[in-house]
Amino acid sequence: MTKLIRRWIPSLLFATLPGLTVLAGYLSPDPVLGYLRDRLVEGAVIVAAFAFLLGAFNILRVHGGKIGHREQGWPYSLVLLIAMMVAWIPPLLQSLVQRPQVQETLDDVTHALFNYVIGPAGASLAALVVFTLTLSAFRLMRVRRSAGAVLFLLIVALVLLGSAPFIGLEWLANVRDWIINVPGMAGMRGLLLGVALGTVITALRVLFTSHRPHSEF
Amino acid sequence: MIHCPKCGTPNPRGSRFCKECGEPLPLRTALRCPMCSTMNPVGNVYCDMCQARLIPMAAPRSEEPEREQPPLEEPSPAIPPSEEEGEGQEAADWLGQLRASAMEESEVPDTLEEPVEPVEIPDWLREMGPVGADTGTQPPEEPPFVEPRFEEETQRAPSPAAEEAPGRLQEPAPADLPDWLREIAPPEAETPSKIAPPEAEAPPSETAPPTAEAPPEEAAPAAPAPAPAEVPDWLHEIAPPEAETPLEAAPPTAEAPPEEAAPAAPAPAEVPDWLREIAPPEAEAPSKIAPPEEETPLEAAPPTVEAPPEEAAPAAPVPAPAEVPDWLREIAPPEAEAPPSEAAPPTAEAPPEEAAPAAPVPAPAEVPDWLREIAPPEAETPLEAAPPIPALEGMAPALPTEPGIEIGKPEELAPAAIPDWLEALRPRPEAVTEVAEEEPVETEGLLAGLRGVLPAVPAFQVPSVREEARPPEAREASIARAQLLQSLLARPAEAPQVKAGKQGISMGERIQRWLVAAVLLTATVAVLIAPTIPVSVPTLTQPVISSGVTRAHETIQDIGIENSVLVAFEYGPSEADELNLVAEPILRHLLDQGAQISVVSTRPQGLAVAEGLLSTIGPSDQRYPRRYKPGDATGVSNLLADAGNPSLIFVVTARPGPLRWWVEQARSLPDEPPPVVGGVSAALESAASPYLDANAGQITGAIHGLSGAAAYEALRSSPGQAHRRLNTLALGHAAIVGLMILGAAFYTLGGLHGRAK
Amino acid sequence: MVESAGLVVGAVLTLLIFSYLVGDNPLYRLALHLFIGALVGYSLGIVLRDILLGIVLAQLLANPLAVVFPMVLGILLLFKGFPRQAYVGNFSVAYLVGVGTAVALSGALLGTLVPQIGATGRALSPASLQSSRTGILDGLLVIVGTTCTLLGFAFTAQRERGVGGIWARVIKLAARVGRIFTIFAFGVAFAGALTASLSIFIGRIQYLIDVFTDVYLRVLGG
Repeated sequence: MTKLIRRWIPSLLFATLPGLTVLAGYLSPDPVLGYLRDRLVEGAVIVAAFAFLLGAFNILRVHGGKIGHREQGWPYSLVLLIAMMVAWIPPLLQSLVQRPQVQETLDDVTHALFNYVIGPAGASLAALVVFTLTLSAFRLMRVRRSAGAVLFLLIVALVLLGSAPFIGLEWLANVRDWIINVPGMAGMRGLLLGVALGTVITALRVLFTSHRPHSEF
Repeated sequence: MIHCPKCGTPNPRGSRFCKECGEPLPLRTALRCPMCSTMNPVGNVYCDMCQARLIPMAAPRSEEPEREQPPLEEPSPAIPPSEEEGEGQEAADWLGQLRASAMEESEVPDTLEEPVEPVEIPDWLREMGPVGADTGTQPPEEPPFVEPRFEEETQRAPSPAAEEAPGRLQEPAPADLPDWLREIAPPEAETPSKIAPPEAEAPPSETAPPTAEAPPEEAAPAAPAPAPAEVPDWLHEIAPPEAETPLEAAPPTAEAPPEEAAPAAPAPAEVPDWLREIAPPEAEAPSKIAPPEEETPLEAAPPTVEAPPEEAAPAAPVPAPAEVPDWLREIAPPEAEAPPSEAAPPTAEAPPEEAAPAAPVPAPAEVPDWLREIAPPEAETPLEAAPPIPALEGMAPALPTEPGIEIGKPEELAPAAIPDWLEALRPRPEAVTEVAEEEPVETEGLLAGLRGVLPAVPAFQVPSVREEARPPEAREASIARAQLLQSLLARPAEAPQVKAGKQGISMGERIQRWLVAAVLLTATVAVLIAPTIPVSVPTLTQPVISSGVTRAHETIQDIGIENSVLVAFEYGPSEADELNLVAEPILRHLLDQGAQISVVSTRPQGLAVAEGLLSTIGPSDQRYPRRYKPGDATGVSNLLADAGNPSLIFVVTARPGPLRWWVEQARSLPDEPPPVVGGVSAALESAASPYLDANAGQITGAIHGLSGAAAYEALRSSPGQAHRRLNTLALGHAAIVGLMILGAAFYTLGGLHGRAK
Repeated sequence: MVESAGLVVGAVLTLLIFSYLVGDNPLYRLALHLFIGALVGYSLGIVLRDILLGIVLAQLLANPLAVVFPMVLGILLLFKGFPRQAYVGNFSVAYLVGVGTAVALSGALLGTLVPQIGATGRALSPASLQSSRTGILDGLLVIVGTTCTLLGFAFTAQRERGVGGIWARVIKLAARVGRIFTIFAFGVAFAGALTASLSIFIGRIQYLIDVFTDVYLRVLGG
């Protein structure tokens, strides 16, 4: 009985049945199936929102545990939790508060939070990537000295110089376009097809309960 | 390598399945030696390299290969004398105790060649355990780090009769006999009584080689492996000069009293001191120790407590038949009246060498105190009258029948000076009595009525009360290993600390980091700060208008007033610095076209980004419909379902996933799918190219990164921020390419140089 | 004023993050944790506002049947945070997996496989050949490259003898060719990533310059 509850009911009732209904709604022009598809997809969106709540709860638990047990780096966890507790209030209150002045203030706070804290910090983290990528390109020949590595470096150099070619080197832009649209595109298309094939196979396995990532068994 | 049991393919160690046929591989295909870490086949019990034990002693018997029977077996100390042999029982008791105490210190010496110290207890006696405690026990478990040689020798050495069941005496298989004894006892001598041939040659006093566990090597360290007719030196000393008859070295069974027990007093010249004291007057000629003693295997002095030592036999007064063990009974003549205890000075452990130092011959009429104490007054029963012990029937050696074997009379013995080491072994009759009284009487079986019968259970399960055992001698190597182990165990347990933080980086790597940072900072800051200073910077590059940019422009150009456009802001603040510049010209174009923009996103931050961008482009008080739906492709599908039928979908993203979802879901709509225009990061140019392909047509047009945005601005003839940053981008690209070439040259030349060296 | 203060805060955070160039340090970690906490909290607020309050609560009153079932599933999903009762969330996860799989399947089939295979086949169509001077070469390269890349990643040839062995060698050769095309694809992607990150870096430097200029002028201007 426990196995029935833990294994088969989740798979058949909650995964296979809705999944096949949605698939039929996509493949069939039947409006009923289309309606069912839309409702099921809408329900999945709501459940996905709760999944986000679960993620936030997990962050609370992990970092709260670090603070509680005074583990290494607990002050940083404290900063994280304080920022988290403060940041979720203004956007939420925006929809709850009706008074225009308060709403305006909340808007300003939300924008300030986004534009002066989240924005600069996130962009700075992304900007650091250029140093890492450049350093790895600098050391490529130390790691792998082969014809493939030389070809790789050559392609990178041509594409970079062709993106904003110096005056007098406009032909580099044509070379860049050819590299991107012919061999590069062919390679990427092969990868894309491989990914799509894998998606199809995995999806069919999940829908027919051969693969149960959601179950303990 | 692990070989597959099915197909035989060698697989890397640690593999769980065969790489060829998929057969599950056995988890254990080898045993690692705990000492030398050599991998041994699973069936091994001992390491092939160092002979350490691989399988613990507690392992089931079936795992161990059959061990050879120990060649010599200790006479069971629990053999109780018969009721008629009261005195003999007492003697046997104290002898048994003596033997037992010596057995606690059992450590088989390592080498045959090591001479036994004069004050050392011989190994054969050392291995003698306390009464009732050693029979039935397993041989002591050798420590795993015992040297192979030692291990080998212990294997060869006769294990104590502790293995035997109590009271059960066995003859050692002829093949198991130690060398010295083998030579003494002919192979056909399977019973003590059969040891005949050497008797004819054996001279004097050969008491039974009582101890099976007395490695014969220790018994005669100084004596060569005696030929069957060879008598050890020590026994020569106690053998009467006229004892020409070979005293057979009875099979090394305790119960096999050597029929060739010392016949007479040893030759005066070789009589041990202690024995000389008790030797009869005619045994005062030490030189008379029978020469052919080399041929008479004379077992070392009685290692068995119950076996009156052979030294007692020749020179000591003949023990009363009632008390003398069988082996001695055969030695001593029937008229031997010396108390049995006399016959067994526990100098069984006195190797012949120890007996070597000359000792004053005791006065013929003087009986040593220790012997007197244990001698029963009425010990005059002839040997033959001793009632046979049922359990020992058929095992006891035959009484010596050879003529010439005589045992000196007590009155002929001179008092002996007892050495200190022997004095320490003086049995305490009261202890014997107490022990004897404490022991229960056996009520059933063959040994009914006897005291001190060992229980049927193995002795090691019974905690025995015994005296503190002397620690066995240990080799220096073993001591060193034990000390090392002790020091390791004494260290406090330290959990391995995972070092947080990175290891120090080398100066070369640090220089590379600084170089890259310096070059990039210089290239960007120099160009960006120039207008502020102000310094004019020449135009280094011009925007390149690609086909994708052109198609995007044409598509948006076709959007009319009141057309609904779905703008998907699938990026967050991290990518805003680039994608805001990408989205801005297209949004301006759409707003200029009068399109009805709806802002959608599957990311929570997407709406905030859109709001910030649109507030800078259009009127600040303009509100656009916005929807956020989580769930990746599911959210996109839901957004499309809610959007109705948009005229255009404009996707702004820096990740390949959202672009693919929007492209796929737009294609999945039942109606004619709307065109999709992409405003993607430069990183997505490769991923978007298959969709952007004219043959595919899934993305109508796209602009990629800063250069694409600058190109779109150029198309619209309204240069903006993207155009202003193009110079910096071009210089930055050149700096990166320069660093790449520098690094490639550096490492290529460095590698070639290293190879040349 | 508020805007200037906000800009200064943003610039300080930018510099704290850039301090990572010197090495990992507490200031960088402080800024990083502050950013993560603010981002998660902000996102949580958006989800609560737009989904739970905007959709669920609103429809709960208007059309309860449409949201009760997903709401119950969502609440069950929260039990995944408790290890002993985590199995209760299996139903919700199963629902998400089932619907998401179906959506992904239809998208992959209809949105990628069919159009892309068709596009590969049309590489040697007259329209394609006329689109550029090297149309036929490009078309051949596209077909060969796509096929060989797919063979290189999707198939591995087993060692066989005879005809199977010859075919295995052919597959191996095709896979090697496909790897060359893969190098092209990854090289372009790497260059694009460099360009994107450089663009963002340029934006940050510009931001710092703007803030410095703004603060400098405000201080000097009084």
